[in-house]
Amino acid sequence: MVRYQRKVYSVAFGYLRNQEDALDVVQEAFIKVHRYLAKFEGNSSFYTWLYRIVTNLCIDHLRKSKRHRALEFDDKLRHESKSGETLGTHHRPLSAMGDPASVLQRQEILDAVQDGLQYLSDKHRAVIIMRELQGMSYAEMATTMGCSKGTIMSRLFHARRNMQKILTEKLEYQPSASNKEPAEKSKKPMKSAEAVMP
Amino acid sequence: MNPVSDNENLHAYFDGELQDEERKAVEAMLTEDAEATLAELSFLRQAISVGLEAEAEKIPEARFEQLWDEVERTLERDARLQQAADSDVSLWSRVGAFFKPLLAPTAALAGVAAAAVIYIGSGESEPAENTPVSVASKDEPAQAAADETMPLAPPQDDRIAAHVEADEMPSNSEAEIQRIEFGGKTGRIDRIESKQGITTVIWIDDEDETLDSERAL
Repeated sequence: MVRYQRKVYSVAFGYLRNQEDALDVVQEAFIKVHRYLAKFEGNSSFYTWLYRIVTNLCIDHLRKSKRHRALEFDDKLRHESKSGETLGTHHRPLSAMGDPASVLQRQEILDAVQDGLQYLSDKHRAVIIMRELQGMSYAEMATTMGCSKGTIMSRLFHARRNMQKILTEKLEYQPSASNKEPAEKSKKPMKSAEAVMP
Repeated sequence: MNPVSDNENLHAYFDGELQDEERKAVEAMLTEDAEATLAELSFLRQAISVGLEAEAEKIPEARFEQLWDEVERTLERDARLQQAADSDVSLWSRVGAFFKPLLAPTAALAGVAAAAVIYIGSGESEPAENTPVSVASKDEPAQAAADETMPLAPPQDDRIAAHVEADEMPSNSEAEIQRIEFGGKTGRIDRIESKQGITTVIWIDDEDETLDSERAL
């Protein structure tokens, strides 16, 4: 189980955004796994089962701590995202930054991801982590969060839009020429976009 | 990025959540902008994954070792508590299982014993009242000897004490009343005689002690 420890930690940290809280959840998750290992029916993979335990613990932790941050920024982003005027018209798409595998090695990108998650609301961050990191299905997410599948679809859509917006702002990746250029560039293959990286 | 090409259905398509018909419909309408959006989503997914994994790498291995130590301690404590709970349960269940076949015979024996105790108790209460008499009648000399040899010793039991007290009581034949008042005169009883069912008190008037007066009572 040691080989899962960092992966599990990354999930917990994604939800909680606090190192010690995340480590506490990881510890509690492994204790639960040992306690209930005999009851594990094997309907899902052990990895999925472990993630489900971590997710439930994190959600419980968030509910208990009631450390909800102000959502003004998030709400503004959501509003802008719905209009579709902000994203993509004034910012170059993230994918235009180049090959993710190589680009993501850059520390400022990693920091921007951390900041982006930090600014999201708990619910938006939760759906992002569940889907992007844990690979949970919409149905599983709906069950875990106690809402409908439609709500999950909507929540995930807006969470992604917000995250994209934050990342582009953090990276200060502004188009250098005109507003039309990003749209044109976005249609091009990603490798060609590397040339316009600041 | 064209907003029209970025909607919830496209995200669901990216996530593989659409049914066959829906998926085919989206694929038929995919524009270049929509494909760019899909590339964005793919980049975002990788960015989040790599970013959080990088965050996890910041935690030193020693911190995880501490974590596992605590996990181990907690599990050991759980095991000890469980073992203690199991041993308690098994002890009582073993005791119960051992005595279960003996329960009915033991109850029957207890009933018989209780009845016997009650019967013997009721039988002993009758002679108990006569015991002091029998003891007094047959052991009087021996008891007197014992009293002589051990004059300061306390009574051995209640029966002996009762016997001693009985010895100290005055005899029924001795007169206790020494004076008499009769016919406005008082006097000292001299003697009491009893003949043929008639008791005669011979008493001496205080005024004339020399005068003998006989009255039949």
